[in-house]
Amino acid sequence: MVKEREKHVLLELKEVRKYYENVHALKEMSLSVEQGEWVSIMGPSGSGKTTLLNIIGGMDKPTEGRVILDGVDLSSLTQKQLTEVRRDKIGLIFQQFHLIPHLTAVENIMVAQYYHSLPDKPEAMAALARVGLADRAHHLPSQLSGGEQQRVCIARALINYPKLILADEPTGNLDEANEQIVVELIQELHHEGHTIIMVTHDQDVGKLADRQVHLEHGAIRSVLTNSYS
Amino acid sequence: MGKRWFMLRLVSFALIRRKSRVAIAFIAIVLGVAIVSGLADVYYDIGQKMTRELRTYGANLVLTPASPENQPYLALHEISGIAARVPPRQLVGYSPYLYGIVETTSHQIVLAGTDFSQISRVSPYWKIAGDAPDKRGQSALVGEALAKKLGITAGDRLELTAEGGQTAAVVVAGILSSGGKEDNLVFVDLDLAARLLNRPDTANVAYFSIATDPAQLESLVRSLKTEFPTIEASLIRQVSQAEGRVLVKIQSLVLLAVAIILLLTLLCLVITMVNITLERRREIGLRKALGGQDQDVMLEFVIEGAALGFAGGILGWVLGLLVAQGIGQSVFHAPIAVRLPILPLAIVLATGLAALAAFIPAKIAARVQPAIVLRGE
Amino acid sequence: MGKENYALKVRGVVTAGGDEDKQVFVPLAWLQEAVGRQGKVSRLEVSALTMPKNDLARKAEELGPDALSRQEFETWYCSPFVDSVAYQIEEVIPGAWARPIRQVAESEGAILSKVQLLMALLALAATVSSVLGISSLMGAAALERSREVGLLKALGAYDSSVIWLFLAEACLIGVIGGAAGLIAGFGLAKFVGQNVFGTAISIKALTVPAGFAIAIGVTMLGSLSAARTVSRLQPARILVGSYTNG
Ligand SMILES: Nc1ncnc2c1ncn2[C@@H]1O[C@H](COP(=O)(O)OP(=O)(O)O)[C@@H](O)[C@H]1O
Ligand SMILES: [Mg+2]
Repeated sequence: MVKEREKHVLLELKEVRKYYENVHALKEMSLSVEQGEWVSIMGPSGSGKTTLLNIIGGMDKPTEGRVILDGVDLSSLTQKQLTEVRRDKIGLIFQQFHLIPHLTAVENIMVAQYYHSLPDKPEAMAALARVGLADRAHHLPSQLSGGEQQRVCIARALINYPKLILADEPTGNLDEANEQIVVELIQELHHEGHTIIMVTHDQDVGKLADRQVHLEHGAIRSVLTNSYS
Repeated sequence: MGKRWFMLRLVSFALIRRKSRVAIAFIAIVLGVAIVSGLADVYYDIGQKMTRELRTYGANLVLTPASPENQPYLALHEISGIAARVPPRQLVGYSPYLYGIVETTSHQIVLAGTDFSQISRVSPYWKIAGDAPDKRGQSALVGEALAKKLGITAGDRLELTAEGGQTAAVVVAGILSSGGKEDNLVFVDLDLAARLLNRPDTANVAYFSIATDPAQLESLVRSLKTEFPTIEASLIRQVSQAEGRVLVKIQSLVLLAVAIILLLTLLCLVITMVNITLERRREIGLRKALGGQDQDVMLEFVIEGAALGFAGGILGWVLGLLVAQGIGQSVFHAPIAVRLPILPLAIVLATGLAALAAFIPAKIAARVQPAIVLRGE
Repeated sequence: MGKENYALKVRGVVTAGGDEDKQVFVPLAWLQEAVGRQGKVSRLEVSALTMPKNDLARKAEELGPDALSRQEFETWYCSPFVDSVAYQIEEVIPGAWARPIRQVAESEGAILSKVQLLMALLALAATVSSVLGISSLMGAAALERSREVGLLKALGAYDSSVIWLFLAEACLIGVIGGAAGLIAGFGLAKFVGQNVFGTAISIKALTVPAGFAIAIGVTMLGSLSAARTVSRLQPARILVGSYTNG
């Protein structure tokens, strides 16, 4: 295929382990993700999904092993450099949204711009319009529904053109209607060529991805490559 | 939009939109600064105030002729000249005394002429049973011991005859009791005594009550000695030394209390600031997750704390004036002197402490991996 | 009376600024011998620790002790007022005439009451600071336990029972803190006594219950706002784990 040539590995985990004192959150995990790929991470609660995502996102350091993101070995970086990686390469979507409660939707997006480069209100507004929230730009998180908050969170994750989008159960706190909207947004991102790693409990959502990685007790139990997409 | 500008907006939003939480910290800062700066005002003024209160002890300086053999009397104009040398704010009062022996119909008594209007200022501890004497009525005060001996009561008439044959009739306005030598004297107006004793415009001694600390009093005495060589000015040691001791004790007691309150209040200020910062540790984690460097994130919190401290420092100082005046009025019935240097001190202290109290927990929160802070629970 | 000559050696010169400056001081016994008045004095000065005048003392001073009722008189007589001390001296030494040296007695009373009022106001300021300090500490504690409280409320606890739980804990803390504070306070009083006054400060038994009462009161008062905040927390919000300062 023509696409084959362009494909290159964006993320590679090599025998990553993570211990919390005596809890083995991750046991020798190896995984590689290609640019433009959508991987869903599945598995029972406590199987290490969030831990994995945090390590990929440079928010936590593995106890052992290497994480190579876009050619850079994260395990060798300082905290400061890790922060720069998060800032420049990662877009984060959380189950609990994590919006700053005293800032409006557009201001929350501008915070991400502010740390990245320069706050740019028109661009932030455009990002909100993209997730269908142009008219909610000046609302505080507490004035938004869960689904709306998650869409703000998605807009924020996209604002700095990240190489990799990490979403930890983005629909976990949403009702079905909102889940639908969010899933459609993520699908759209995928079609645009974003690389996405998403934790989900929902089989149907998981199936939409290119690959489903099932974790159990901190290890990969199975990898399912979906034929379509 | 500039980075700085946006950061300031973030800070102001955090202050304005988190009203109820910020208000708690703000109240703590304002009340803390108010108590501390108010008490500081009181502390710095307490020496002055207590010196004035201590004037209930009566005179602390006495003037007598320098060489009684040659010139046994003081001239009244010299006494008033010395009174003019004392700063008016410090001069509580002064009374000249002219003593002499006169006879009543039955006894010889010691007569003392003085300025009755000064009694309440120079000898506030005198107890007068009966009326206060007045100048026009040719009235007299009789010491309690003498009154008992002679059987005199308030309202009696006394016929006084001096050695030279001058006579005067006075009405006993009241009986005086001091527990000291005054209990054996008869007091009349200075002019009347001068006429009776034929000693116009003179006095034997003059007592001064001056509200100032002992050291200043000593230097006043020294300068009077050179300026008025015919007059001997001396401190009444019993009074001035007791005063000095009492003053030092009161000051150290107040200092101790103020120091304890200062620590307590500042501690409370710090705890409150730490609290309102700590409850935002997730926000700090989030900012780091979004790519904020530790120092950028902390800078915002420090500026917030400093802004809060600055405003709280000013308002607290204003409220502190009320605290000081409240104490001044209720304890001393007089306003407390406002010390302007306390204002910048209060601002610097409040700003610095609030900033520090925001910085430390923000730094602690920033040190934690964002993953741990953001972990759902 | 026959005249006799004595030779005395001057050992020092007294400066007091008062009548003392014109006097010669000699041993009492020697003078009694010299003037033939063994065991006699013409004047006795007494230094007594007295308490500041109150309304009763002023009444006795104005109207004389005879004007007091029996009960008033008893209280007056048994209190160390300067006037009642003088009264008792007159009783003990027949024919004596005892009067307070008003210059000392009056000013002492005036200064003492000022200092007491000042110290009371400082104590009040300290109490206000304590309430503030405790309320900020309790605010932190409340926040830390918001989860527990949310659970309690989710399980059906009333707002009021949450408040009571909080206040009861505050009360317990007040008792423990009060005990520690009293011990520290006695230490401080001792320190102040030695360093400011050079004597031991007597500790009144009343300070113990009063100290506990103040400690508990201050703690409860300081906990009120925290208790209210906690009772207002929405159980659902806490359990979902969103921002607590929402
Ligand atoms: N900070 C931590 N300290 C101790 N144990 C932790 C910590 N974070 C996660 N764990 C443990 O690691 C395991 C994996 O957790 P997590 O990655 O959150 O699972 P999942 O997201 O799949 O539910 C769990 O057993 C959890 O208790
Ligand atoms: Mg998880």
